[in-house]
Amino acid sequence: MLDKPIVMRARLRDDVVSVKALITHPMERGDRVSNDSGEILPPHFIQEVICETGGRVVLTALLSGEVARDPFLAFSFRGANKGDTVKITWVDNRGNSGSSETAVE
Amino acid sequence: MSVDPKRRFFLKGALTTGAMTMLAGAGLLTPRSLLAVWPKEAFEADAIPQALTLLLGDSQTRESGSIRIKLTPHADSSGSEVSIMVKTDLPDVESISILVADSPTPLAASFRLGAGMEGSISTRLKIAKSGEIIAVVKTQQRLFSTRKSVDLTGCGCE
Repeated sequence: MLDKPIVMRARLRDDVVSVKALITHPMERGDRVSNDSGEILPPHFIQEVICETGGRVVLTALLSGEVARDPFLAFSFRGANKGDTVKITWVDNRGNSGSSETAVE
Repeated sequence: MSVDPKRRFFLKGALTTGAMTMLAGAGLLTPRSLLAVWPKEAFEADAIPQALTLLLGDSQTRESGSIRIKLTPHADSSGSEVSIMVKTDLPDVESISILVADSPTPLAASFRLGAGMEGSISTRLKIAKSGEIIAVVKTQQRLFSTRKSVDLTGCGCE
């Protein structure tokens, strides 16, 4: 499940690139009881998401287990052109990480 | 962590994603851009002023009409989710943080804005009860905030 690519899109309109990203991750806060085992599921959530383009970091998101399952992020920035690469990388509390990139369209 | 940057660059290029993940899991390798330390104490703080001080170095916020919060609750199979958009036209924004007033650990997420970022961020939170959501915007000058109530009784979520 953790190696699923990030579903992401970056669109340029009027000099502003709008990014939408959906990361597949359980985002367990550490207080939920498993339907299967009846035991409390340990914390398992993304702590940090970075969005980079053109060698600069445009966004650093620091997250908690309060963020909903399969985190969705939307944001926008200036200073990129069509075809430029936008890369998103995440790391969770267990040290797992994932990364995907897309071209600005 | 004392890893020679050149060696790390070589490792990044040479290893497969799976091996990278294993190494990262073992604490041997951290993606180069992810070296910021996740502020554990701020996220574990049980009071808003404490969380803000630990996260942003200050807890004094000024109410601002230049921050807007849009909240859209959804019923979900495992509880309830709320889509949140925080938008500000304040100048020189460094970060936008979202806190859930009634949560045992109020700080939910914080977004550091790099050069060129617009003052807007959207995400979704798990929110179990009706209550207040607080957005705190850090500018180069000070902290500004605004708050908005989310009502989960109407959507069948609560």
